[in-house]
Amino acid sequence: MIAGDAASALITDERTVDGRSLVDLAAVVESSLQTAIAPGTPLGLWVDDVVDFAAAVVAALALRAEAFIIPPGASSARAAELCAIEGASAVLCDEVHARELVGGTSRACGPRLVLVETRRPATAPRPADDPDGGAVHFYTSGTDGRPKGVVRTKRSLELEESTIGSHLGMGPDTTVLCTVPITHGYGYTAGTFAPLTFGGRSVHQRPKLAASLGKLLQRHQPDIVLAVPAQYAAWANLRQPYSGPLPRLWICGGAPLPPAVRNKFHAAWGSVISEQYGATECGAVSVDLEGAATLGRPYPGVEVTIDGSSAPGDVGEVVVNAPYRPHHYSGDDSLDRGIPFGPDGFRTGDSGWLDLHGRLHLVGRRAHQLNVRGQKVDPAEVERALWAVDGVDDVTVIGIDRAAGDQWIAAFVACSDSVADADLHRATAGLESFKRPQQVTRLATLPKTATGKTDLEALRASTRSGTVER
Amino acid sequence: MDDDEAFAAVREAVIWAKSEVVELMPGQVTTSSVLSEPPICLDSLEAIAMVTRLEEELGLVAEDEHFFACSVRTVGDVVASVKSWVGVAQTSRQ
Repeated sequence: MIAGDAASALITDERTVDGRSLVDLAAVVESSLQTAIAPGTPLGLWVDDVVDFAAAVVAALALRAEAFIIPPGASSARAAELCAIEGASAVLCDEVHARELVGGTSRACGPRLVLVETRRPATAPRPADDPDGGAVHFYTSGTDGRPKGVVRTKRSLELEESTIGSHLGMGPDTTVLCTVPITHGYGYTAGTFAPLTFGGRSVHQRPKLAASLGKLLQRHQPDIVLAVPAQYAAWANLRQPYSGPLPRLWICGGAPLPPAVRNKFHAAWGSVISEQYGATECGAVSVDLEGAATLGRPYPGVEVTIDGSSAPGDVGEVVVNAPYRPHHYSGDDSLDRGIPFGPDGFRTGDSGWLDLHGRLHLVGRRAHQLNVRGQKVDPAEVERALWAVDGVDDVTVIGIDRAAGDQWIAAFVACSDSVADADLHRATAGLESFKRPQQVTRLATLPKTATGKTDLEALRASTRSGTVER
Repeated sequence: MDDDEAFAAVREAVIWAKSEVVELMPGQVTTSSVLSEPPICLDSLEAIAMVTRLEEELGLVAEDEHFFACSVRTVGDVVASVKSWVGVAQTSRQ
């Protein structure tokens, strides 16, 4: 997981820790946890500092714990909710978060960490997902009131890290500038542990403006930069010509990269962005190393198929079978129903196609989740709210892309004349504000494709033209 | 740059950031609602859009430390940041 030598390093604004020191720090944390954490024990990780988080997760995996990540920005209520889902009574956190966890006992665990154990009785440890190694649970945002923790075993994470690292050409001389959180799957594997596995350096900084990015490129001279579309959109506003060192790869993941951002960034920096496709539920899937403005070819060992496709170019749902993919969510077993982890792989919910060269293209992001102002929204939840109105015959909710890879919510409703506009608005009023549609369009019928599915592209196009073919 | 000039620049940039990034339907964001809300209610994307707009308007280059080093909560905070940033930029030009 970490090449424990002095050449590899994890670097933040405040700290630089070489690989050997990081392994030593993790060993101290592991030793202090040993009496409290048996294999299979759910253990919350609520740590803001990148170095401390890395040490904590290495220690937890060494103890074969079921470590689940509590996002740094989570409220104490959210932390308690995740603990309840996991049946956890122990949280390893920093001192700030330790003060937010009330009603428990705490003790120091390494130089900067605290183990908080609540009085709530923990459930019996579940069978370990991987008897040889423990697991990390990455939570996707709760969109229907039921947060989902994707279980990644130590073995699966290490396989993904080595796959990404070797495919992206990482080695002891590689420096990765990771501008996304380590607590996200993308930042965890590609941004942090992949370079550390190969003896390289992982620099965690989050520059917001182009000039600040330029300074970091000068200072660290990264080979690879990892970011999300919103960051590339901001960095595309380069005010002064930049002539310093440039990375060989600018990787973009987390959300679709709008063509306008890709083009503007290229004009400003003279560099091509390599878009990566992946999901918390299946890890890294493909990457565009040719700069072909696609989602590229699958990572080695990853199989991408298009459901219902019989030839290249056929559009269908993208299904991913990765050797490191997880097989279930943590907590409530009922979350696993509804397919996503099927025998053929993970059904992404995205529509796409493969070209003759095996490169993946997406035609729509009709995914399970929408990205709205940084929040995840399940369109099915919004659709359910509208279906509850008497007289509604058909409903589809989609996300419409806007600047910086963000989306807004458009709802299309086929309903009888007896349904008042106010009824439709009332139906979604109970949702959290970011889940409410910005636009609700009434239609006599929803447009359908030849196979009878709702024509999402026609609906999406209507938001641009203002009309819908009925 | 005096308070009025800084406020006018910020006001324009905030409105631009809200409308450019948010793309809400007409009538859902009004000038008064943006500027009368304390705190300023810009999320991270909007804050970056606001700063890039200020860069364009004022012809200066901003860095993170000018606007994102500490918590910006109100229009007054942004106005103070702009005045400080412009002051530093003018000094460095001299």
